[in-house]
Amino acid sequence: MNPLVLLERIHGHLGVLAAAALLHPAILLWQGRPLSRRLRIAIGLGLALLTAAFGLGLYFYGDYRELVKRDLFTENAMVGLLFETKEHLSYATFTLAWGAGVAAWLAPPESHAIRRAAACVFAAAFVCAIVVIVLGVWVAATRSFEANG
Amino acid sequence: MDETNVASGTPNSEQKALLALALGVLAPLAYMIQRAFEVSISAGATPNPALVLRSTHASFYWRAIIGAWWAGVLALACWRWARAQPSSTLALGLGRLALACGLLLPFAAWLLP
Repeated sequence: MNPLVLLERIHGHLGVLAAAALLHPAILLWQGRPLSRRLRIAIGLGLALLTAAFGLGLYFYGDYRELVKRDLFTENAMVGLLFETKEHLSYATFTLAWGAGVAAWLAPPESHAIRRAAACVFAAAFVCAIVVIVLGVWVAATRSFEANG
Repeated sequence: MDETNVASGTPNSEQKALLALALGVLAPLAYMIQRAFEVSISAGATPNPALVLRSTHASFYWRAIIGAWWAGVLALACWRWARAQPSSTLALGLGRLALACGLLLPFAAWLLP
């Protein structure tokens, strides 16, 4: 199998796992309670998965541009633009989740309001991540590394 | 708020948490404002596929870095304002802003690809 096809699939799977992992801290932080060990692990895991998916996307973007993006725009310009939309929302997901994660980590035990706000930010990151996944599947179904062998 | 920290200007852990939250929420907004400007000067023209091969990803990196920089500046401005406010007020505002972002950013990114 072409290593780029494998990386693309891993990127997609990591993205789906990251979205699921972002919802968990959003629900738990809404209670406003100080961070338990379980919640710290949930936040850390969500951020690690998200960073891995985002970093992997950036890593093979150069090859994607050379091998896929041109054909994608030629085949369907609207889907090509959806790829750009996906890129913008990926950045939004990344910054929202990291901001919420660091805030939850730093908030002192008595700061319930900050943890509830962090829960809202995690929820916003989750919504953006779901849209990114839907767009990613749409784009990949139109043109991917696999079509280029 | 801790009076000693207000006097010294050194943020305590609660203020650092608010700064991180503000940074996370404001960075995608600053990014989208830049993208809106880029789309407005290109009049929304569809990229020419023949030029995709030669294009670089530099615009995304610059947009991301400048977005984070503006978010840092705005977060510091928020922090200066928040020193005189209860931290829960700013946290509540940031939470509401984040929810609005979660709902509106996908539409904005759709309209300004």
